Order: sequence, then C-alpha cells, then structure tokens
Amino acid sequence: MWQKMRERGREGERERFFWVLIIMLWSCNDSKLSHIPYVPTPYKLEEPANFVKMQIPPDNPFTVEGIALGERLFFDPILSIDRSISCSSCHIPNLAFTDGKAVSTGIDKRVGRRSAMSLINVGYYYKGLFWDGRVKSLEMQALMPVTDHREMGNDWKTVEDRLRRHPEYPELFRRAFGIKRAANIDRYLAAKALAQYERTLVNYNSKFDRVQRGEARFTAAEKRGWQIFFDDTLELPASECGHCHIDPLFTTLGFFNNGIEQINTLNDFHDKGRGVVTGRFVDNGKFRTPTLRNIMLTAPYMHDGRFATLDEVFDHYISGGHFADNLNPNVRKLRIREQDKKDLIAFLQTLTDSTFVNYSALDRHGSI
Amino acid sequence: MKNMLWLGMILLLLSASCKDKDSHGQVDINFKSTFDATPLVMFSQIYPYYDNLNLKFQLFHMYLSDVVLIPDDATGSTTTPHTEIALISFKDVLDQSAALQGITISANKIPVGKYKAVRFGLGVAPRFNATNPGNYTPPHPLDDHYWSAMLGYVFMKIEGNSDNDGDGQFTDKLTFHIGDNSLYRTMEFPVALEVKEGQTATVNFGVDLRRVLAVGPDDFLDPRTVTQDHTSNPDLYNYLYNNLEQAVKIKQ
Repeated sequence: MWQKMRERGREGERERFFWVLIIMLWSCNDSKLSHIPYVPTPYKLEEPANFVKMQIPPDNPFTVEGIALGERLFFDPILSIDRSISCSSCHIPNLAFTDGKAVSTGIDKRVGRRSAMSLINVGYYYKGLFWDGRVKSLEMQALMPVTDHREMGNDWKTVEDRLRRHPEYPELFRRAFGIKRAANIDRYLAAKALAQYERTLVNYNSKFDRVQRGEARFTAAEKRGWQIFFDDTLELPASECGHCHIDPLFTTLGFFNNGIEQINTLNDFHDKGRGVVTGRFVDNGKFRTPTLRNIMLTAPYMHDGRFATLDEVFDHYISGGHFADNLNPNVRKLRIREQDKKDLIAFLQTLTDSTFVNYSALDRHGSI
Repeated sequence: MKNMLWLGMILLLLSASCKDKDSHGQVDINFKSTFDATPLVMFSQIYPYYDNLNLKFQLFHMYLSDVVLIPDDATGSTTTPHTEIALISFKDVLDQSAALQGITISANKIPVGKYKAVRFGLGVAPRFNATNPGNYTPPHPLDDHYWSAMLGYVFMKIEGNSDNDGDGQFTDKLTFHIGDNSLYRTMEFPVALEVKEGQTATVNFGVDLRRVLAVGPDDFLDPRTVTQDHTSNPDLYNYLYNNLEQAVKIKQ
C-alpha cells in the first residue's frame, strides 16, 4: 500500500512538474507588454491627385508603427517554413517589386505557377488581387503566400509562435497595434501590418507623371510613342495599348484574354486564371492587366513570363494574338513598324520611377 | 404642466419625422438591352445582322447623367432628383436570365405622388466630364472608363466580333469607344408614374444595340469596312451616338 502511495506521490510530483513547466513556457511566450507605450503615430499617405482614392479599411488605418512593422515582416524570412525566403524574395524593390523570373520560386526551389506581380500602387487594386483577382483586400492577400506549398510552405500557427517568441516582434506589434501580451500576436495583425506597408508603395514620380504635372516635357520620340500608345490621332498607327493599360495606373485592373495562348475551346487553357475564381466559362484564360509602370524593370512579361523582352510582347500584339471566343476585341492586328516600336519604347521608358530603388519605408516614414 | 408641454413637443416631432419617413417611396429605373428583338447576351449569343452577317458582343455600356423625375403638377423647372450619374453596363449580362433582369438604378427617397416624365442626360454631363477618376473613391460610376488623352469619359462602349467571311468564326473585331461633350444630350420620356409610401415603382427602358449600329437595311455600319472608332472620326461617332439616342425607348 505504502509502495502504491509513494508511486502515486511520484506521479503527482511529475504531474505538478509538468504543469509548472507548461505555465513557465506559457509565461515565456506571453510576457506582458503593457510597460511599452502604445502611442501610434497616424500617417497620412500622399496620394497623387489623378489616382482613384485609395480604399483604406477603417479597422486598419495607417500608422508609422504599423508601416514599419509591415516593412520588417516583408523583408523577414521568418515567415517561410525553413526561414529561407521572405515576401521580398519575389518582390524585389529595385525590380519594381517583381523578381525577374518567368515564374517565382519558393522554398526548396519549388517552382511557382505564375510570375510575381509588381506591387507598385497595389493599394489601388480595388478589383481584387493576384493575377486572377481571387482576394479582395491586401489584408486577405497577405495571409496566402505563407501557406502556399510552392511559396513559403509554412502554416500560420508556426509563424505566430515564432513571432510571439521573437526578441523584438512582440514590442513592434505592441507599438503598432497595442497588444497586451505576446500571445496576442496573430496572423491577422501580421497581415494588417503587411497591408499597411504595401499601401505605401505609391508610384507617381516617373517622367510621365512629371510631364502630366507640367514639370517636364516629352522628347519628340516619347510624344510620338504616347500618341501611338493612346491612339491619339488618325495620322499615326494605333497600338490599342491604352484600352487596358490606361493611365494613371496604366491598368484598368480588369481581367482579359489577350490571346497569348493557342486553344480550341475555352476549356483548353493550361491555366484558366479568372475563370477558376468566377466559375464562368467565358472568364477562362483571363488574367489581370498588369501595370506598365516600371515596365523596363519588370521583364519577363505576362502572367507566366513567356515573353523575355518587350520586342516579343510587341510581336505578339502586332500579330493580333491567338483567336478565342473571349479574346479581347481590342487585341487586333496592328500596323506598327520598327520606328513606331522604338517610339513606343521611348514612351514606356518614361514610366520608370526610381522611387523604389533602394526604397525603405522606414526612411520615408520615420523610424519607430 | 411644463413636463406635459415637453412631452407634447416630443410627440409632435416624432410624428413629424415618422410622416417624413413614410412619405417616400422607391423608384427603380430598369434598362434591358436587345439586338433587334432578341435579348442581348454577351459572348455566347450570335446575332444576325444586315447583309447576312453575324455578330457577337462582349461589352456594351452607356452613361446617364442627372436622372430626374418630373412631378405631375410641376411648374417651370421643378424636378425630383433620382440619380446624378449612372453607368448602364451590360458587360456582365452573360445569360438569358440576366438579360431579362436588366440593369437597374434605384432611388429610395422619392416623395410620394404622381410623376409625368423621366428626364436624363445621355452621356456624362460636362461638369462630371471635367473630372477624372482621381475625384472618386471606388466603387463609383466614374472610377473607370476615363480616356486621359481626350480628357474625358467614354460615354458609350461597344466591343464585339463579326464573322465577315461566314466561316462561323468571329475573328473580326469591333471596338467603338465614343465620348465627347458635344455628344451629350438630354432626353425626356413621358410616364404615368405613381410613387406610394414605402413601395417601389418601376420605369422600364429598352435599348436596341442593332439600332445603335444601323438605321435600317440600307443604312448600317458595315463591319467589313468599319471596325473601330476612338471618337476620332466625327461622321462615325456622330452616327453611332445619334443612333443611340434613337435606340433608347421607354417601355410602358
């Protein structure tokens, strides 16, 4: 009997020890943060007058602290399962937040499905995000690459745990969102911070913008290219570019089949794009019109990066594209000659903006 | 006594506000598009046209500005505002059901009473056409369809395809993007409309896309020779826009 009691006592001790350990671990993971001041600094984004107004969710207003946290997360490989890649691995600032590859690669060199989209002016993308527009807000979008097995291959529970135990992130989350304990860090706050940072990636200081504001003038070639781009006069050939790449964003944000894939029926698209999202047959093979801002920095082109150069892109559009029942009628055979191409490229070069080369939101918005 | 006075005043205010709330109804203005007599459906439907040609469409839109109702007892310029600016777009009409449903613009603060006419501007009124999408927060009718090179909105867009060689493939493109202050015009349609408290009254319009492209068998836009316009050719864009005016009909 005494033996049994002793054994039970040992079991009880073990149980007590176990619970003490759990509590200790929990407290390590959940240190109180209330000693750190929570005084968020409101931030007013400078928006160009000719852009549609940016939609900022009422529950995620800009703060200097939120933007700084978002930038830190954006460049931190802590989000990926093996800590090898960050958002910035595929969205490199000096490539206008693209990666220079046909399709992106994730952890373990896993090959992605589509090309990394530029994040320039992504805060204005009110018709949905990604090439197929499958999510409506940056807050929702930011949740997805972490768990995509071709991208970061992680799960948010692991990420949350890493952030809660991190020596610096609990304070940064506290300053940005006023959390009381490290355990209050969650995926939704991380996504909010990332969204705040991404909304600051506003681009409106290209030569084109300066011309629009009367601060610069096009050269003759640039002006001719602009006229061809926007089908400005019957005296010059029309390139039909402006219908989908309308300024100031140089995209309507719409989804179109631009005829890059040869198919017999709309079911034949290798990647059905928008059709998967809407479930509509006529949306198969449609993809978002990408911005042409910084187009000189964002090769290769198209959702699958099939065109390495702008010359290849021009050749495609001059040909009128492959026919399909949902081919955008604005994609039609063009009478564009070599000089017209050169002038179009001269114009497209005016869309380059060096704002984001070596860009730091911290420099721009102040450090916390 | 003083309390009774206060109570009386509160009751009076409440009854006045209730009366105000109940003295309005909703007016829906609905547009259905057809090609001749056939409901207009994007992408899938083939429409016989003149000279044995066949057409298909992907987009048809038009703007309306300053939609107002004219009260039965109106004198002078008395009107009841309905909608300042509306984009009537048939882009997402992809089946018969959507075509029969049409596109509706609603206003729910229309004072009860009888109305004798509906009036609207066909196009984007000059004061709106002087703005650009930078003036608006999406979603808004004017957050898109701005053509900066022309410093104005595209009042009407028609995009589609033609089968010019009769091989069953609609490989020939049609794109007409029309907009200019000179094209803006006001249209007025007599109605016998009664708005009742808390109820919805509907005014139905039809717009025949074939009538936009053609006056008749001897006077039609020939897709074999004319395939696009960006408000560049005055003869063409005036022809199309004048036709649009004729294509809009009220359905009693």
